[in-house]
Amino acid sequence: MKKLLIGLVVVALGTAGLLALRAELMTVSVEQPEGSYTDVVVAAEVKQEDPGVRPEMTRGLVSTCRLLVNSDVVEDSFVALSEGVFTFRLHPGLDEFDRRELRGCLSDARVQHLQVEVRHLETVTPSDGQERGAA
Amino acid sequence: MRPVIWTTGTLALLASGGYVLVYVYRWEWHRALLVGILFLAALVGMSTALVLRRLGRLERTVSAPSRADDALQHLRAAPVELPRFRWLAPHDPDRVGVFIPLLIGGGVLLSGAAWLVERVAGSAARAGVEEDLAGDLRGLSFPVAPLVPSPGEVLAGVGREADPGLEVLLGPAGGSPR
Repeated sequence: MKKLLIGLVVVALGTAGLLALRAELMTVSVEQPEGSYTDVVVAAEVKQEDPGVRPEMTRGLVSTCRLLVNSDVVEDSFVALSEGVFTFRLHPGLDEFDRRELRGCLSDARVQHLQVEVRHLETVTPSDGQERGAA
Repeated sequence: MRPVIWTTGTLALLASGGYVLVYVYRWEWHRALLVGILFLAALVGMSTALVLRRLGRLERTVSAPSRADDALQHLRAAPVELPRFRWLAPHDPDRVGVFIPLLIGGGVLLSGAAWLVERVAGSAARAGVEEDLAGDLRGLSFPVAPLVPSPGEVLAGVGREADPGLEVLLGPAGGSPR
């Protein structure tokens, strides 16, 4: 009886975990409105490398990760906000699933000796821009 | 030391497995792959350790003396039981059997002794017994005089007076001397 209960709990937890994982890993493409864009702010840190190459390494990581999502980096949008903090804009804007994927790709250890932390990742649609302008 | 190793291995297995799921959940595939390799390594190591431990147990069980061997050793260590009836043992051509001659000779001697005892007892008891028997039979012996008078005596009437029973026996046929 005890083993049965433990088995049921394990099966329930496994099923819940699989469902949660499935929901998180869904790659459904949601059409974004025309003129939408996604702003991203990342903090990059390099280890065992010259800090001078940090922008280049970060740019390379962004170029790699944007290939995973159906969006392009807006030209000249990649700028350094401060020491090790960069921002860039993607057009068109990313839906919820693409944002998850992009956040994971940027946080992942894809480039050796480069650690990136995503500080801001937001998709702005024209309607959002109008609301902000009105505010 | 072994509990520490087992605990470390188990924790590494659980942690790496959990982080695989976490990294997959976060879409961090490279990290998931790296931790997945660690998970596989820990899994293989733990599985190998479990198999080796089980094999070690089996080896110790096989190498340990079994209960049958213990019983056999007890039997072999027990004192040897001497044959109590040697004559029942298979005949040994190198040995001369003396039991049967001794048995026959003993029987002859016992029979002789019994015959002698019987003879002595018979001879010792016969004299007294015969005397007592003669004394007992004396009262039952026949009288010296005949019980019935001869025909001449009957005719002569001799002894009728002395024996009234004879008168009754003869009856009227005997006549009366009177």
